[in-house]
Amino acid sequence: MRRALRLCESGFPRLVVLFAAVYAAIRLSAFRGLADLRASSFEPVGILWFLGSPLPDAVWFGVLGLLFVSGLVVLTGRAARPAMVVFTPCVLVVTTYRSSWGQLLWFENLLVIHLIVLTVAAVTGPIDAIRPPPWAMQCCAVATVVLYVLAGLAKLRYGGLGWISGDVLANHIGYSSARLSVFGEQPPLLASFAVNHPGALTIASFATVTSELGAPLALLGRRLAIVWSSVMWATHVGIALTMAVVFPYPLVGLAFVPVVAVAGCMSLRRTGTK
Amino acid sequence: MIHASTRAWKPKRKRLMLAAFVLVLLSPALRNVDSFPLSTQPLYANDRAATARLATVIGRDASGAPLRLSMRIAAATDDPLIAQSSVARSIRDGRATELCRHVAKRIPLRSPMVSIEVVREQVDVMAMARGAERFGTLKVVARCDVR
Repeated sequence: MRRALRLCESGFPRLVVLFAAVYAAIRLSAFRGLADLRASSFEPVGILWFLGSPLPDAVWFGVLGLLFVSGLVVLTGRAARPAMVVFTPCVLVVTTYRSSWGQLLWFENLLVIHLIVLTVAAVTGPIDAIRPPPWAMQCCAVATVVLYVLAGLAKLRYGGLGWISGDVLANHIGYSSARLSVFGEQPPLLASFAVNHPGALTIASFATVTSELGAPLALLGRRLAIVWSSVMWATHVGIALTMAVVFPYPLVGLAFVPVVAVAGCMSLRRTGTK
Repeated sequence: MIHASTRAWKPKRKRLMLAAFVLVLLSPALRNVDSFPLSTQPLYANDRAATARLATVIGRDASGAPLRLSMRIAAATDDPLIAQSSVARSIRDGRATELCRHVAKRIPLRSPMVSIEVVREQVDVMAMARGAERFGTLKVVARCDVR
């Protein structure tokens, strides 16, 4: 377990780059399809806020191409550092551009933040080595935890106590089904089961909000980190099965690697002082 | 002496950098502004009613029966979030007729559809989740012929 964790930690930047490249390849048709959307739908956000109109097709496809080429170079291990400096901005531009059509998407936030941290670490670290220093893993762990805390706070801020009762969650599951159904898709696999068991939804709602708000506890020790990561992973599995919304980065577990690694270091240090 | 002060300063600087990083991550919530990649993370946060009025595009066959269109045909995407918001925005911006004509051009040649409608559909979301409701109450915003 520890060896696997250490391997995962030392190879974390490459695993994240591999994930981002594979994800971009799987979503390529969706990314390419942005070129077909009407210019009037364009509402730039984030680093693209200054754009008055959509990117010219040549630029858009150029950025997509550069993302794959630089990603491959990082993965080969040669000139990994300069390649990462190209790869991360490409991922940032591609994912920001995808959220610039009137609907912010929240599937890639953490992935992009982790990539930015790891790239800063690679740039400031030894030449051509992208093994993350401890501070980079700490920043990634903190980013994971803070984003989940924000998600918990948002549920209480916008959904109120109704969120904990399970009513809001039931309606969200129903809404996700309806949104699919009006476009001829089947409702999610467990949507019907979930809305027919309101008691289970109350427990799920309470568990979701408390584990999101309690995310910082995961940094206190490895066992807590593993338990918390498992609960959040199970939450994402539940979301996928009841709402057909897939958050790939947490689902493959990469979002939680820094949390377990950092908390693991803390508990190792404690053992060492005994 | 210098070495000792550097050792004392470095962890402090790291803590300050980490605190600044946390502040940056929290900034969207503090300003209540959602963006990308810094976000308020409002995933499924807002309250939702048990009924919803969804913007969509449907087809009609020669008998006038309604038929569903895929996201790919209705909104040139495979993401329901984007499809929904794209159709809703077209209606809101007064471009429903333009959307209707765009969609009509995407209908396959052998399709039984003879007309396209951009609609607002009132649905019982729970019934939809149980698979009990196929079509809600339709309010046509724009209509156009296929071919």
